[in-house]
Amino acid sequence: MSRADVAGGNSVLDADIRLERDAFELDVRLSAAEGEVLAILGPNGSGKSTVLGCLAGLLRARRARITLGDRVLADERDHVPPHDRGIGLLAQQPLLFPHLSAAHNVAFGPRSKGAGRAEAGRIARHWLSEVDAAELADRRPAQLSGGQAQRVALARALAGEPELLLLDEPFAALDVDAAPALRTLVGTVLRTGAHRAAVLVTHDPLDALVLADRVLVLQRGQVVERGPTRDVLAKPRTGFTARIAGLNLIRGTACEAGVRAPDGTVIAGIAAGELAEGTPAVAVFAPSAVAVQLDGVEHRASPRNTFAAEVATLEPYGPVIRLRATASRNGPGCVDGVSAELTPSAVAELALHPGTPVRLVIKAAQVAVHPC
Amino acid sequence: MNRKRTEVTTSRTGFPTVLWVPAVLGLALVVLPIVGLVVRTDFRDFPALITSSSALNALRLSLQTAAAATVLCLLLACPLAVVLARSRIPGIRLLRSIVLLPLVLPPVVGGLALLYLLGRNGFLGYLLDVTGGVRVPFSSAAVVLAQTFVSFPFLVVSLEGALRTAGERYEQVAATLGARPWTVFRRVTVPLLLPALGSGLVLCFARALGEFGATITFAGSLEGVTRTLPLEVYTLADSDVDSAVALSLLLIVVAVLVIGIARPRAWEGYR
Repeated sequence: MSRADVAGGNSVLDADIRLERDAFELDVRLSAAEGEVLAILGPNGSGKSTVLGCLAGLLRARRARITLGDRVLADERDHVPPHDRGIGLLAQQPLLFPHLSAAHNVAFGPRSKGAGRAEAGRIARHWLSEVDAAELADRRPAQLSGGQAQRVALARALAGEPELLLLDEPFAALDVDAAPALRTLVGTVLRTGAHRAAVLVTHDPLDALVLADRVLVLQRGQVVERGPTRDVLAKPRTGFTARIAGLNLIRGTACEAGVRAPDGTVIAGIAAGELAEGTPAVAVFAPSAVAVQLDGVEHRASPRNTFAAEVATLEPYGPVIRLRATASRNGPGCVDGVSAELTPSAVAELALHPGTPVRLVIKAAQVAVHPC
Repeated sequence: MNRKRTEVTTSRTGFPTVLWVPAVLGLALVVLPIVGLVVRTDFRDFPALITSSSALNALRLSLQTAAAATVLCLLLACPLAVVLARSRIPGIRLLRSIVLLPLVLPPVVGGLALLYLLGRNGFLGYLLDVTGGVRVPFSSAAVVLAQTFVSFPFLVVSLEGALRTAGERYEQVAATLGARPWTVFRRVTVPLLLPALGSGLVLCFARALGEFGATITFAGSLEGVTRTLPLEVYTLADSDVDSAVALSLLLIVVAVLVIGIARPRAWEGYR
């Protein structure tokens, strides 16, 4: 891990956290620059929520040094309690206080920090409208859907005007209809909010792709990869990252069939939520959804997503071979970098090698179209 | 009722039918004695029996002392429950078992224990007598203390259970929002405890109202001072059976009312 992978001298958040619990050992160094979103990716039990707990001050590590701006939040002697840290936390569950209305939930932070009743109410209304939940102000948490509750929880986390925003799997408990909308909303908030840095914990690479500038991959308490999101996810170096990432994504604008790439190619797919035509969107699909055919050979079926390309590289990935394609002279440019998974026997049968002209067939049903 | 029949019910894979026999016997054990008491009650003289001056004295004293004991329980049990549920000091499990002691101890033993703490020969009682001239035993205060002793574990247990069920997540969120511990306690912990607090207090009150063993050993049975309703029933049981039965029925009515108020949450679980 070279020093350059970590945010340089302009970092707002710096943390060096070490703790041991039973057989589990955690050793994480992380930083985030001004305005940056850092994603912590990792499987269950990798320690990512523990890191977030330490940043929030809910957990106290044996050895930790955490600085936010010019404030020391934790070091060998001191441990600033959560309420003095200037953080906002959005967890997997909305955890809205059940005895308070949505507006009073959002006003809780400002009230706790000394704002008067009227002032806190004004702040609450402002943040509720920021998350498109103004009409929910008087509802009790029990009367809200999962997505609505999470929007109110987001407003509540933001209303305290935190310096550091912590997001712990914020979309994991939402149903498939609500998650994309909230992801878009969080994306907007992360770009426009007054916070100085944000840390997102997730096991879904899509969250990192859409929201984070840099990622850090955690495995059994150790950092195994880190760097700019696209680099890490496009060229995974560890098994875990390869399994969860290595996802293909083609950016463009939403259209009726799916996503229209900048070169005009349409990738048919299934929209994972409400998408207005012409808005920025990304088509995401796994390498296993890409079939490879030899160019020039006739096939009976003609799926919508059939694109000409050339083989760039072939690399073993556990039991399969991962093929990375590059644009061919007569094919669309957007397929550059798309990867496919093949069995070694298929590679031998098709006599594939770098430079072979191929056709990539992508099953439209396995292409998810997300707003971005 | 017709609609009920069309609704989906769980299929009958539940329990062996033969369990009905001991179940009905168990129910009979609770219901039949009460039926016996009701049958024995002289309803013509009932109003007169429960409004005799000694009965009214006992009722007034019972309500006053039980209410005072409930307030005392609230002041002592609520903080204790929070400490037991949230503190991580070593030995907290032992403390938790000790708090349950009055729940399993025969009340008469509790009364004796109180007597040897606060009686004239008890070390605290001696101290109070010498320094302030305060003698606790055989006073209304002793009644309140005896009732508090036996009933406050009920409140601690129900509050601690509620605190554990709710977990610390709401409190942690409140802390990240900038709320100091006292604000978290006031604005999150206590409001979330209110349902359990309500049913716990009703249970406490009921237990205090029915207290007998600890009261008679520690406070005695002086009319108007320490003779509460259960003690009055016990006193009358030999001499004036009609009055004893009438007062017993009064206590049953109060108990049924208490169950009606407290049952939904205390017995049927939360959420």
